[in-house]
Amino acid sequence: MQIQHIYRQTDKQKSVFYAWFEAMHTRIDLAFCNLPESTACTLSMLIKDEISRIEGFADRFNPTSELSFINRQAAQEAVKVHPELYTIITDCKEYCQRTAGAFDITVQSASHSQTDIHNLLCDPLEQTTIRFARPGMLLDLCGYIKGYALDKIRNILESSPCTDALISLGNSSILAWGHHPNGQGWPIALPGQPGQSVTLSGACLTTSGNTDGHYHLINPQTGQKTTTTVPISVITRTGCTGEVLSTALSVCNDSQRAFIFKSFDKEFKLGLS
Amino acid sequence: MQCACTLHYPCCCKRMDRRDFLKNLGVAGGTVLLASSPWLSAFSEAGHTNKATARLGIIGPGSRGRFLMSFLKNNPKAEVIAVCDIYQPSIDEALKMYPQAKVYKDYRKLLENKEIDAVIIATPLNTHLQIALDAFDAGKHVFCEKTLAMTIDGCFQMYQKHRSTGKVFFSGQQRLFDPRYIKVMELIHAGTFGEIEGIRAYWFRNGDWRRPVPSPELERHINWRLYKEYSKGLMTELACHQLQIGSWAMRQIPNKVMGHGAITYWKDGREVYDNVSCIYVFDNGVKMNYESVISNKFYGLEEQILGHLGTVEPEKGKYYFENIDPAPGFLQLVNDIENKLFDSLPFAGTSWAPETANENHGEYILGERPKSDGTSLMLDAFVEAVITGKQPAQIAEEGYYASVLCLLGHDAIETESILTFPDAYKLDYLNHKKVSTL
Repeated sequence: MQIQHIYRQTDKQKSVFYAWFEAMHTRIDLAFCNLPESTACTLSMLIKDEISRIEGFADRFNPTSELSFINRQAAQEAVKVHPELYTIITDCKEYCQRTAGAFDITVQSASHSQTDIHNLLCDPLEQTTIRFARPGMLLDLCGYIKGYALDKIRNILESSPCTDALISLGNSSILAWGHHPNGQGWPIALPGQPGQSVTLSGACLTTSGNTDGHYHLINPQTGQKTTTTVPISVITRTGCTGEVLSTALSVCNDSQRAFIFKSFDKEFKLGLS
Repeated sequence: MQCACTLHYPCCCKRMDRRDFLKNLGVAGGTVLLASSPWLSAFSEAGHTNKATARLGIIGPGSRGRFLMSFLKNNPKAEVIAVCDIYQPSIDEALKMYPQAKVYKDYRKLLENKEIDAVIIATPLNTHLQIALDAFDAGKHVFCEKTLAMTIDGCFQMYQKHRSTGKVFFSGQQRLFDPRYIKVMELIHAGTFGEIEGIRAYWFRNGDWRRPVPSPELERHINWRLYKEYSKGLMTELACHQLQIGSWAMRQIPNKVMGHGAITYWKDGREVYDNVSCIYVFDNGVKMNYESVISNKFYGLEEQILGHLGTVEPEKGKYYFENIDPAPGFLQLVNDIENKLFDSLPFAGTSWAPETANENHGEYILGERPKSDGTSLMLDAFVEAVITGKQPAQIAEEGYYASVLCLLGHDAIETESILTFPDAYKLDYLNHKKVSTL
């Protein structure tokens, strides 16, 4: 099946391919430079399939996903989990620790408390079972999975003939790969900072924040939705780190913020001009 | 959502008038636009013709003729130096616009005027052919209103005369110069809306199509569109504009047509149909359905171009994607790369969510509601071509096929049969190959 796209040949050697589709409850944008159209289509389909695969097991809104199954069952019994999802969950648990609790995938749990992350039991012996120590627990990977997908897309690009690409998962998770055909890196305007931009190459720009009066970010410390409308953007090498930091820095207090800066030190730059 | 005008001219097209649009041809995206609309080459020397003037004669300054004159009036390179009509009120009105114009009652006398470079023919359809042939023979460049002639053979004669004399030849297909059509054809040809699977063109009005007649003996002279001696009715007066959009989008000439026509409402003595419908079939099986009814105006006029990824409604100036819309920031990126630009891309932000509304309102092709058609630019192009003496690519062929297709449809209606495009009238154009008559 053909993917919806635009292909423009700018001269014999140069071209731009842009494909877009809906996945992960948002729009996915893929731009590849200087690839034959058929190659770009194939690459797009590979990426689309990969995103679909990840969404298939990690979307908590999809009742048939593995994550949904965990959310339904793990309070009753230890649930055997596919190693990939198990690794994602344990990585998130570690990120919670590294952000002093500001990034917390249990934050959507009923009657959430800061200690809920410790009620998420990942069996260290079996390695692939998850259990909730209390009822009402809920795992939400929405603030992480796009970054995970972005890192998987990077892997696909690395093994492809594509050297220059720009990937956006819902505008909030961006991978700049190689260079814009007309310059070095990819210049991207910084959200919330009119007239300011960053130039990225081999890096991710991840943004978190509330949009248009829709307050969806929850502070794990208070359990309350944050009301800030200032978006936080971070530049990281990996998409996962970007998701964790942009989310954590959007909800953290001053002491958490200091801890995060120390914990991640050279792994990121704030998206400030 | 951000401004949809980023489809090609980010954040500036709202300030761009049609002349600005064409100015950009030389510096931004011109090559791409010329691939889809090669007749825009008429403007390629516009910067060097500023001191030149095209001296024009208007044959038939009736309502349509004066409409064309109103645009010429705004072009400093155009000068109407003669008008010709047998109906004095039309002459009187024309002279209000160009008081110095020389007046003729016989077009042959006008053609003898050596000062005239070109003529614009806006007379009733049945007179086009002879006037155009005589004008070419007199060494004039010719702009002939559509439809070119009453018969396919007449259109062919006119086209061949253009070829043999080498004179500039335009027909009144203004959509060829309408920026929204030009822009969207580029997108269609680039595959933006996928494979074109169908075209639905229609023109609905609710009115008797009559003009006031000061005395009964002028009825046929003034309401010539209603009588078979002068016109083929809806097919030649309306369909001709719209059928051309189908072949432009498809880059093919349809080779079969079937249809039906009737007088179903306006049974007032008219001879031409007030209700027509035709199906044109392209070689790949894609069909262009044409319909015109003049006793209901609810749907107005449109040429719906149906791709498997999206739909275009150029009259509304809009396009719609079947699924999710593209990101304006990425469309800007495509545009920047095409135009060798390196600007920061304004799409990063908090997570984008699809609109919850089920309605697909589409996006404007040029970022705003259409304001006018391509008539002004079409006439500007003709003036440029008259000055340079250079025939813009494909404009004559587009005009020829637009006329022939509407006449072929009319013939199918009249004969109640499925007609195939006659080999004898094929040009070397698009999917057609000229058939030798030797």
